[in-house]
Amino acid sequence: MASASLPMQKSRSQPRSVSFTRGSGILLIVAVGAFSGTLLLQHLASSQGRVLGSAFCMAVVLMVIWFLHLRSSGFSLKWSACFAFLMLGVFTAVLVRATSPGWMHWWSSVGCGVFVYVMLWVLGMHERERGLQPLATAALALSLGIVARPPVILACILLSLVIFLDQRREEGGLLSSFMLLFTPALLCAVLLGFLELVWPGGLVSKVWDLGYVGEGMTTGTALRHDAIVFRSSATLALVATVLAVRVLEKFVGKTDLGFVFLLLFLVVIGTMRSLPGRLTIDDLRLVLTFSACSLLAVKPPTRWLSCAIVSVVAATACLVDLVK
Amino acid sequence: MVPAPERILLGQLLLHKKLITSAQLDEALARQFRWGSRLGDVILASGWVKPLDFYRVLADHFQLEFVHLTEHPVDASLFQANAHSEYAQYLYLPWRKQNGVLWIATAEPYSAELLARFAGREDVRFVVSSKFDVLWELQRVVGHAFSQHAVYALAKFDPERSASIVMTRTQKRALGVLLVGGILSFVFFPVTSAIVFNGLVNGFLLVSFLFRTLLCWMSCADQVGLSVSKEEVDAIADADLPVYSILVPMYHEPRVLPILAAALKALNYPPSKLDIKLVLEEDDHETIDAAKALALDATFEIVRVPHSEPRTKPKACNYALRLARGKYLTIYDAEDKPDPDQLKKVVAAFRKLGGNTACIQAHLNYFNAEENWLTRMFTLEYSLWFDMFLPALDRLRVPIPLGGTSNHFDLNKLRRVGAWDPFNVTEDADLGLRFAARGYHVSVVNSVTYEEANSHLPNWIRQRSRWIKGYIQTWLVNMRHPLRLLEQVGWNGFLSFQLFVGGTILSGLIYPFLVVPFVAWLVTRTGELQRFFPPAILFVSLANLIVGNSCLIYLSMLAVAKRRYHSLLPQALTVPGYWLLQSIAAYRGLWQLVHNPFYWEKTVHGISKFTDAEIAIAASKR
Repeated sequence: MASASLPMQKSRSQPRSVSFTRGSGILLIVAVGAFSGTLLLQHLASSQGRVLGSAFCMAVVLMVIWFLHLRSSGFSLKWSACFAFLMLGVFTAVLVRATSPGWMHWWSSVGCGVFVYVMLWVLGMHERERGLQPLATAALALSLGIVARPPVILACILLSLVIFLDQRREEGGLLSSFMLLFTPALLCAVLLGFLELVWPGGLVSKVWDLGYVGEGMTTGTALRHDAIVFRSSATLALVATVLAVRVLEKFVGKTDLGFVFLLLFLVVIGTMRSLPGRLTIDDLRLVLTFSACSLLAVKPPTRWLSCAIVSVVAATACLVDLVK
Repeated sequence: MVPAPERILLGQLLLHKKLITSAQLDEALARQFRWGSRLGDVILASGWVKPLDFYRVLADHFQLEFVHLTEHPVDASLFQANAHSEYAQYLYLPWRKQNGVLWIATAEPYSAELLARFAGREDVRFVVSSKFDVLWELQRVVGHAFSQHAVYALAKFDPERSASIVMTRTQKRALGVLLVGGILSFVFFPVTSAIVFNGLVNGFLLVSFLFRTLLCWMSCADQVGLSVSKEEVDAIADADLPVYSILVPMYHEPRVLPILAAALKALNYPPSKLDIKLVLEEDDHETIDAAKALALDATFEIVRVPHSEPRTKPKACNYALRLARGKYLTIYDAEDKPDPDQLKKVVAAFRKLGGNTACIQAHLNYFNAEENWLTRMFTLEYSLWFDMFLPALDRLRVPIPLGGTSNHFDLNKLRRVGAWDPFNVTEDADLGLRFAARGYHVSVVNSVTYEEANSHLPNWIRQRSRWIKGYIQTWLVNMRHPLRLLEQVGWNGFLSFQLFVGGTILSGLIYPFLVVPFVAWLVTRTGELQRFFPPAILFVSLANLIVGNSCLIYLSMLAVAKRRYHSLLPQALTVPGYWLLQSIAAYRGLWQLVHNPFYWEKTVHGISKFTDAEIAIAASKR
């Protein structure tokens, strides 16, 4: 198919704009408003309205951020808006259908998704440039790992180790590389550990919500294939489509390998009952959704057809999740 | 007019008088061709002939009389008040008036500007004098006027931007209302007031920390800020380079003079196009004598600044600015070691950036980073400031608070904005803001100047308290009319000014107030404090404490990693201790702002244990 209207409007050689436009400002204000809405709805609305309203507000926050990211990645306004609105639907559907809806539970699940999104984006950045920026982004993201669940944190730490320590070893030695990669995370962990010690049941427990189990990924030691596939079928289809588009566009690289590693690791580690804060099916669905978004933002498809296919699948996923 | 009879070539004349050898003449001619300078300037800059001998020969060359102005001083009554800058620029002075003829003493009888100035004047005759005599006499006669101009020009030209008044009446009233209101609300509504105060402070600090993280993250990219490559430097023909003025303000620093002289001589720039001025206080005899004893070549001039208050570096620079002859001008501190290519890089950068650029800042760092804990911390801080923050501010096109040295100005634009504020003790930061407010661009170039980091704590506290005092002055000056500032620099510039300059002041002053309650809570576990920290504010406070502190430590690490100072990485973990010192300095600066606002806390240089080695290296190069 000829690319009559290419999604990529900007030239690759153009430096990325960092200017804070008025439009971006308005969108961020919308995001802050929506976030406040999420918080308010926890107190104001009735049970059903609260779930729907909260899910929608949180999805708006995610949509705005993702839209801005797509634009900064070089996506055209048209396709960025299209994807953002479709993902608004997908996120709302996924959040509404989560088995144990509620602010704190979502926080952890969304945290897992955001964390994976950032790590995949870092991988993409690392593929493009070898400087300090991907490493710094990974390190800062790891320090925010408190919002994710332990299996996801573990997977991302392993992934970072594989990617960055090998690269940086030649420059400043292993210790320097280790410090550059893990200092923020270690400092946060030490400070949080200290706080947990002097203030038991405080911040860490609240955010991590270790007591929450949700619908687990295993029965005994057996993986619940049927439940995972049934509950996540729409999201899996979206991810598969995005990966297929990347294969077609010849974008496949370390980012995709990293994603596959993450997915396999999470599924395997999901079977470990002894791990605290284990992964639920809802977490996995959000991780998959965010991964699809990240893979799209890392390197936007250049063909009109690719964008159209992803849009159709995203819309279908949204509908299937809502109807189910 | 200058007569034009048959002249013997200057080079031949110097050769004939055995002041240079024929090999030197050949070399001078080759350099003249390469540098695009006049032969006389090349020979003087090469240091082969004593200036006095040279100017005598120059007089012979033009068949003019040579006059020793120190023995036959000028008639001050002939000076025209509006021509003082012209005298300095074209190196001439009205010397005598006899029988209706005006005698002009000049060091450049061949200057096209001079000839054009007196074209058609039959009543004008010329005599030749040394450049140093001309400048000496100029300062003797109009030094006081220059000094007055240096002190009061900005206050007269743009009083709203002068820090000569610390706070305007409106600002005093606003502060009074805030203080009285704050005290009353704390008396009558202590809990609510404390909550509001906590919320505002923690919210501001959180945003300020996020902004700094963003700046740092941007600077981690391979390409950020202005970059001039070696190839671009090599591509510039020396003949196309303009005259470059270098000001070196010094006070009681004879020890480090050899380091500076060696560093300036090592600059990759045609010496004949350098206009270097050692700016010394007239009562600083030890440094003046040391400068004379070094017998520096003719590119170096000693400018003696007459005594007047305030005795500050910006006042000295303003004074010397009147004598500067370059197209561009830079400032170096006494102990600075600039990258040899720096001037050429800046010229290339000015050409790249176009006509709206007023200043280009080079990166600063330290040659004695490994001396002790304080110098390591200082290096971490400077790496963060100059390698991470400033290039990102440049990229965002928001006001850049300039560093104290190695800022390179377009001289015309510098004069147009009123030059430095002599009453502001961080005149550099203030100037960066003033350029932005006038719509000029300030950029950062990839060239480093190495300085001596403060290795003694009392000296460090003095320097830092001056910096914070100056930052408060700068903030107060710019916030006299917040809406006007907003209009001039836009929302991005306004917010970055608040977060960067305001954030630096506030974080220094507020740090103890954040640490003390936390430690008190840890020790006593009192529930009393919970009343002042509702959940939302507690969350932000903890985010500041945990993520904020961790990230700020990490940003320092990134900065030194970018500079490849990997040995300093573990030192970054001790940065919170350094912040405590900053707080001490911040309160000292605040106290001084109230009691002695224009006092310049002198930073003593040459006290590093690395200095002896640097002096030895400099001596070996002479």
